[in-house]
Amino acid sequence: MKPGKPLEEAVTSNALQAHVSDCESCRKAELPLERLSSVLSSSTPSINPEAWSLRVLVRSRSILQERRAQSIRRRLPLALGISLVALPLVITYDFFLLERLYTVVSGLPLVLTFYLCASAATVLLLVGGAAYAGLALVLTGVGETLSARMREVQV
Amino acid sequence: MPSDEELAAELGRGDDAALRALLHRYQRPLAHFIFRHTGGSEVEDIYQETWLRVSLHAANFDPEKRFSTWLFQIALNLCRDFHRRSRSAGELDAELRGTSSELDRCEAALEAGALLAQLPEAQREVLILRYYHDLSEEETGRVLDCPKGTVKSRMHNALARLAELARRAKS
Repeated sequence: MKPGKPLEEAVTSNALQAHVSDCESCRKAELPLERLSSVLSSSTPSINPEAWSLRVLVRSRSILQERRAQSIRRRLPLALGISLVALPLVITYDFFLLERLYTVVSGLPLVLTFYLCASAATVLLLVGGAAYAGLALVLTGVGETLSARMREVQV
Repeated sequence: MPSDEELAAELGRGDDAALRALLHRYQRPLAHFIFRHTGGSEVEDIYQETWLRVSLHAANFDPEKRFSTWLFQIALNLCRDFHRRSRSAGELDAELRGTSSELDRCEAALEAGALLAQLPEAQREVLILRYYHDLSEEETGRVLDCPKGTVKSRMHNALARLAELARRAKS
């Protein structure tokens, strides 16, 4: 069945025709296909599944919340693990940058040198921390949730 | 546009937008299937229970399989449970025999729901899936968990019985 196809459109006698063309007993029996088809097509249930679907969404909210939490719990150790693999490299590079900075500014007065190096170290720490937080969020699926929200808006 | 199977995988991670999209795609076919299978009883309950089970077990859904087949299997099992709960097989046969003679007398009763109710459950399931939901014999077999040949023979028996009922009702 094609997704999203309204049932009324799907109701055709094709299935009957297809079966009869393939089934010798039915061909021999000379079934009144048109009559059967018109009888079967005569009634379309008068129901309102849209309202039921809204109730399904409400009732399944707690189930989905639990699923999301489970999903994040499952991915968190992996995300932290992947993040930690790169940590020594990041720290080494940060020390390298600070050392280069110290080489450049070491001719300045001691207080100014200390101020510049401390500021640079703080900035590197903040940038590194933010990058790791972002990485962890993306790996735990928060990014997917955000894209899902975008899809929801489109729907 | 994501496929049903991709949406089911996202639903397994708790994505309610995926559930919304799947509901949008399948609410009518599913509700009509349940309606025709149960004859209009407890349709909303079975409909909601089907989707709740989908939400609960979506994480275990095998994306190699078709979502629609899985969805209809869940609904089918619930419909069968409903029939088992509501009456025993013997009572059902007795009731059908009783209504059969009434149908013969009443042209107004020549209506799809009444005719479908005259069919044995196995034949009715095949006819609903093949005729109303346009599923192929292979897909119908997958939903009902039976071989293609069985689907074909049940379809044949269903059509023969329906033709007989329609002929009797007309005369």
